[in-house]
Amino acid sequence: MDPITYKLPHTPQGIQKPGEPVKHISSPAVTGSSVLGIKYKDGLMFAADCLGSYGSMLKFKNQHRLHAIGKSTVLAFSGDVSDFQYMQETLDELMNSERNWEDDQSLGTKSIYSYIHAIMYQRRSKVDPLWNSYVVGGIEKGKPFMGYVDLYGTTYEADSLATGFGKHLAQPLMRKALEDKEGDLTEEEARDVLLRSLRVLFYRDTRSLNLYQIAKVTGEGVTISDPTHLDSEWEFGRNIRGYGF
Amino acid sequence: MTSVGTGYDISSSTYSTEGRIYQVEYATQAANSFGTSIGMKVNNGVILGSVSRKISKLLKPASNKCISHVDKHIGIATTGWTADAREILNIARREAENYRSSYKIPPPTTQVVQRLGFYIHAHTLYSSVRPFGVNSIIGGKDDNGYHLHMIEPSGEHWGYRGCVVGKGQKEVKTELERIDLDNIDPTLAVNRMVKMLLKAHRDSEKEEPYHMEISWVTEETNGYHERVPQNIIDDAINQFENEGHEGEGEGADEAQETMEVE
Amino acid sequence: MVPTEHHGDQWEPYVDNGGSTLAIAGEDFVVIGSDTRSSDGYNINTRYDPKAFKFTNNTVLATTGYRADCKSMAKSVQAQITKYAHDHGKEMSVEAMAQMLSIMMYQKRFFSYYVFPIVAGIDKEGKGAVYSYDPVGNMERVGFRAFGSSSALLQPFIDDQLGFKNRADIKPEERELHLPDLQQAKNIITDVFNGAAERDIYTGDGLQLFTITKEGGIELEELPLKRD
Repeated sequence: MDPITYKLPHTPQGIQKPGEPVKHISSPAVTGSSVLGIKYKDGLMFAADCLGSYGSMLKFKNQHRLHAIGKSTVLAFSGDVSDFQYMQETLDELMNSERNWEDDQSLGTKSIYSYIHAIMYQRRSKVDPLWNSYVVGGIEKGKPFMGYVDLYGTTYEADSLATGFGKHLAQPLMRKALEDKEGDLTEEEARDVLLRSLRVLFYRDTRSLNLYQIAKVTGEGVTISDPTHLDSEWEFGRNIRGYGF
Repeated sequence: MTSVGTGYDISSSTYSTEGRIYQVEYATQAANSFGTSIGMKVNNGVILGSVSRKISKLLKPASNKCISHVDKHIGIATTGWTADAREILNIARREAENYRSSYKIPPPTTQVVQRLGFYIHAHTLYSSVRPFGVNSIIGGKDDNGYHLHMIEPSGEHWGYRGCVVGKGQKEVKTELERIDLDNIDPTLAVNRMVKMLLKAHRDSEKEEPYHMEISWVTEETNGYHERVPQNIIDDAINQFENEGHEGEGEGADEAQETMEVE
Repeated sequence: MVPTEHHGDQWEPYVDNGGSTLAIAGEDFVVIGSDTRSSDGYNINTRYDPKAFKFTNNTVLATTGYRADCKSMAKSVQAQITKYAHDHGKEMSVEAMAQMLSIMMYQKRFFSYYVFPIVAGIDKEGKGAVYSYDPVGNMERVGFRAFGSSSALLQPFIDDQLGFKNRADIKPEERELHLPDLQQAKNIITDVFNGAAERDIYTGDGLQLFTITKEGGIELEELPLKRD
């Protein structure tokens, strides 16, 4: 009798034959959508919604996607949640073994970013990538730093960064906000552009949620807000004609 | 020693005719001949302390520590061969880390102690290896509260309310037994520990310069293993020096207080 | 059913991040220009991600292609160059560095770096040197070379202007006599990069212009380019 099996949407088809090159079949299962990061006067601000999607299913509606690493670094992720959790464990292990030295030193944002990049590039080079895009930011020696890393090991730095749909929808809004103020936003202006971006993402990205978190890194350290409701307006739909109404 | 020359003392894989394992006994002797370490499990905390003779004025302070972090909430104090202690520390950290990655929770102190005890014991079974010349006192906090354990070179380990190992073993043990460990607060306990360590040092090493380390896991450190602030240690040292430590009456007032509680 | 839009038979471990580089060797100098944009498809990742790096007081390596590979390769080259300096008590020559890079790239022949490097420097005779490579390490010393997303725009132009290819007015044996001077070379680079930024979406934002001379070492100028 055949055993009862349940096929997950991403269950690999076929089996590994002996002598064949190893095939890593990796594709994301539970995923997070865009994350955003922007530099402002006192430091950096990050935003992400709280959704962990399983395909088109809104599976986890309280998924935290902004995390503090150490005292002045934030790690924001999109993509596969379990791959992120693996990364988080790895970083926790790293921070812990650094603490063991008791040398009054701790890893700064750039070092953490470099470490994440090393892991991501190593995995892509094994053709077994961690299915994530990361925005890593923080304050090191009084200076703000923010960088992007993804499953290809691609890295870049900028005053505003976004992953996923945010690259298309939020990045133009954030770049404009920065250009208008010559890269010197106040906390309110930074929060405002992030919320506007989240709202656009909620309207246009089907894998998004109107529950979000904002994280801040300043000279004082990291603060991550509780999940907060995002207001949106759908009434205009009543006035739209021509789509079968 | 009666056994020397009979051949039973060259390998830990063979018992002597009286049922002893001399290599393990020698290791124990080695471990006990360097400084003194104390562990105290007290009211809402566990404290580790260690004192040893400063072997040279040229040493860089704190360049060879005998108290270390095993994990966020577990600490270890070692006495004996420092190179052996290093190995034990690495194994302890490895076991704690493995436990964490398997179960995604902070490793319980007893788990780390058991795994470490197993490893140390394994080094008493084969003629190809030398037993560790180290005594380890391990203190930590987990869901079941505070814990204090000591592992001997034989791999034997027990849980304790108070334990001491090293040169000043005898005297400190008597004094520890006089303290109401369950009810004494961590800060006061540190004060007592510093004095006991200093006395142990003076008894065997006279006025030789010493190296002292104290750490704790308490409510105040949020369950983390941390070093005790230097000013608390200095206060205790000053008190000790001012009280005078020649007579047996040292710390008698406090001892009486705790006696009354008992 | 497929849970997300990514999911192919085989995941591709390469990306093209665009950008262009151009190097020109003169009699006693070499100039090398590169833009600072990094792209992924229609997205601009960042407007400032330099492609060219100084390695010794005499050599610059500029690389287009897949940025992660470019950076990883540059890091390995830097490590070897530092080691060489420690072992030999002197800096690596541009000839040695060029050969070393070829070997390092060929060592990854069957999982190659997706990169198009140019090495520029002053050789042992004091002459400007430009080395160009394909992604598996095939190396060639040339007088000038354009690589990257605008290479099809830039290379034909400099072939005409600097190489006098297919020109009836200059005899093949006289081409060597018309090497550009420093100012001419710099002008060509700034002009053609403005042209590339106009017509190529992957080239723009900023231009880094390295000038290497025997006396002056390496100088870097940064100039703006179109950002659209």
